[in-house]
Amino acid sequence: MAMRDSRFDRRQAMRGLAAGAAGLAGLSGGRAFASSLHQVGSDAATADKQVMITSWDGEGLKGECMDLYEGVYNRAGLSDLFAEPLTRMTKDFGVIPGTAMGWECSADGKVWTFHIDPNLKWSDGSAVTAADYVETFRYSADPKHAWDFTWYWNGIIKNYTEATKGTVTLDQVGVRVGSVPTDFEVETVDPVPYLPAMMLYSWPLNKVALNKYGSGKYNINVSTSVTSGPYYLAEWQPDRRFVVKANPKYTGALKPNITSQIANVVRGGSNFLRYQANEVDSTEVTSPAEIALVNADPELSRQFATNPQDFRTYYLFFDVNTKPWDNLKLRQALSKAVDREGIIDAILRPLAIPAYSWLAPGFPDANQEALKPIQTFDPAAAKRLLAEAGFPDGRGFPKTTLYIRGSAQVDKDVCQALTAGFKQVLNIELTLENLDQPSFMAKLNAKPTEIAVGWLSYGMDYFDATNMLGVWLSGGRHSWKNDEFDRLVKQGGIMTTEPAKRSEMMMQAEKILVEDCVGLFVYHKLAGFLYKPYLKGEILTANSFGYTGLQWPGFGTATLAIPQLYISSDVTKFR
Amino acid sequence: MSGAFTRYLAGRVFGLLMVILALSAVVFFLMHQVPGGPFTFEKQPLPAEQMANINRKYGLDQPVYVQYFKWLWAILHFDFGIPFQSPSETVVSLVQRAWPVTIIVGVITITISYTLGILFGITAAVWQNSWIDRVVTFVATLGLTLPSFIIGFLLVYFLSVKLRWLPTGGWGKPEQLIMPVIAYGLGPMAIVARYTRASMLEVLRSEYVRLARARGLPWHRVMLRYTLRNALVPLITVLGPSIPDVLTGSIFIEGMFSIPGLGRFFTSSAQFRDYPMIMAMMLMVAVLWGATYIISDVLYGLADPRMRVGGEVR
Repeated sequence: MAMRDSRFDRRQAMRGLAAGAAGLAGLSGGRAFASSLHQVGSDAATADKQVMITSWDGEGLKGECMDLYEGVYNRAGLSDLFAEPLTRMTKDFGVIPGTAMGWECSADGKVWTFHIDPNLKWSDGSAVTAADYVETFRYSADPKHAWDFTWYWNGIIKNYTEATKGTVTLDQVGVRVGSVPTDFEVETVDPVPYLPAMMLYSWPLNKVALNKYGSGKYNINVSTSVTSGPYYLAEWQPDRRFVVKANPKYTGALKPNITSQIANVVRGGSNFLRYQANEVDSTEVTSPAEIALVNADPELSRQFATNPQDFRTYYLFFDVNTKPWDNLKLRQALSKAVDREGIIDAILRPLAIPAYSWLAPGFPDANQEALKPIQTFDPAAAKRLLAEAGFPDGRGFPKTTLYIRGSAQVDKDVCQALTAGFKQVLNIELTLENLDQPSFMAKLNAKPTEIAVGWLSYGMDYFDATNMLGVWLSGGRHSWKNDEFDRLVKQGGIMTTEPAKRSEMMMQAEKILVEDCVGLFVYHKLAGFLYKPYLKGEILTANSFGYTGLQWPGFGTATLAIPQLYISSDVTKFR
Repeated sequence: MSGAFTRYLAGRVFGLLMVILALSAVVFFLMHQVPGGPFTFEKQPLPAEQMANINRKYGLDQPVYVQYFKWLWAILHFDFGIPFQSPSETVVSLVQRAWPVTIIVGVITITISYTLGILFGITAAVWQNSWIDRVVTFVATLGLTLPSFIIGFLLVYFLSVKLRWLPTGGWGKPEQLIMPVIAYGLGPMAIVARYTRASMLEVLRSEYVRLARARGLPWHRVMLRYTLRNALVPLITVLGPSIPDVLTGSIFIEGMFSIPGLGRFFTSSAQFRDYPMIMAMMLMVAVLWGATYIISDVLYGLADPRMRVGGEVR
């Protein structure tokens, strides 16, 4: 028996009370919902002025494809606009229908059926069907394709892991066409109540084109590209720029106001200067120096917005299997020797909030206020704990290196502040060493790990506590192993019927993590963006958490930004 | 061209090939020893079998020595592989796309900076200790001491952000070349000006120049025939090897001005463990530097007969 609900809110979507916002009341309801998404002000510029220009910083990125299921880490600018995912996210982080007008889940919680809008068309005239999704998911599991993000569906979709290993055939992967061509069925290994949230990452490739060309690369060629999304490929120059234009054949819900998007490829240089020179319409502000300039300029301050994007947490971690880091009191001492507010005031504000736990405020099951006392700044307690750990006033503390991933100035600054704090409060010294990402990750992932103390960050992929907490599961990123934590995350993760209990289990798991001080949580990042005053739309205003600007995952088909953002006639004062 | 010169040249070229072969083996084995690989991602470690899929796809599942000999055999057939940073094209097509951009910037920079540098150097030497000399010395010192990325930043800030005269960067329009060439060329121009000035002063003080002047030869003839030619000989060995630097691009200049050239690949290839590109870059630099030294030596011999062996240029 399928569970159904006519309402759609974040809690339901997150906790697996599976149903569609548009419900299954009929497709006409879906069309009405779609038309309500489109918003444009009376001050909008003419269509020929609705051109949005951004920079795509290709440093370290390959820019090889335009579709997530072709490659996650090698996508180019303006990617994932040629199809739409089954679900989307509102600016308040609620999961709502994408191409799926509704969905339902079997009584055992393992078979999901997504009902795709039958009005959707590809630019070649064919209908968007479940077969496109099935072919795309099978392609992603193909060992010959060697997709770089298979871990996302490993252990979630039935037989997916086995298919990537080549031990079962691709047609045995748990995705199939349902009773009608627009019903997409997903069979999971265990109940996955957050599957709709995961389906934010479900942009399909066109089945016919995929089979004809053998990969999703057909979408980097103007003559072979096929789109069902709000835009089509107009120009592909990976060393110069990418251009997409509004798809005149588009039949979906995200009717764009912006008629043309240009992403200029840059590698290095300053996007801040490009923004000041009116060459781009928006940019992320990353360095403390740029923040100081924004704060000092009233006009720039008005154009500034901050939000958590992928709810990234920056933290110091310890290899609890090596001495002296196996000593809980030592880890506790360090956790209480960090003046997070001071570090943020000196280096990061307003692009960070202090972290006393793993899950950032606003993230599902976040519990920062209750957990705050565990790792809060308390120099006296820190000194006492260090003495109890066997290192009174720092005596006998071994020579230790704190490894930093990458060479971002802000990471160096924060780690210098951390080590200065340890020296001042605890009289212990840690030496800093930067490693480039491949070197760092190779040392971290070595078995046993070769990094005893390191500085890292992690941001979510889907909006559920299991995603962030899963980083700390045994056999994951870190060497820490806690059976009770594993049990809570795994058992809680598959609960479909008791959302309150599930939430409680996630909170208990996080408490164990924070109490064990295996991670010393320092700050949650807020991303800062500048938007030119002529960029307008409801989507840019503050969400219910008070965060402004385009929320994660940004200007694309997984949010409602496309039908809501527009360029006002003020643009002529700048261009 | 005599037999001695041909033998000399053949020997130098053969030596260069041996150096390149040895270098390629060392670089190939060393780069595989560096921790991490081209597919070490920032998030969760991929399961072993999925890493195996990726390694198999890119031929990284074989022993390093097998990979090396396969690479060696492939480059003999002018196949330099697929760059991991841009897998939708080959290394050859990437270099064919990016290097001309770098060469255009480099040739314009060399032409302008060397021409101006020589002119400034001559002017400063002829009118030594005059205001012209002091201005040239000041500009040359500035060019030598200010890094190109600082000059670039100042140019962008004033000419693009404040005055809106020029675009901050990009490629395809003549005005997009102005700031990169200034930022990139100021350093080489300063070096050329300083060397030319010093060399000219030395020659101007020589006895044969003074004798020529004393015998009443016209000033311009003394300058062009006796002074300038001799003053420029040392510049060949000093400036020749700097040409490969300019022709292989600058990561700072290309990055700052969004120039789609080759410069950035010298660092990004190592940073992202792009093995095919690392090897291609290594070969390019080795050939360019080796060839430049051989050409410099030949030119030096042409300009200075004392450097010839067996009556031939060496």
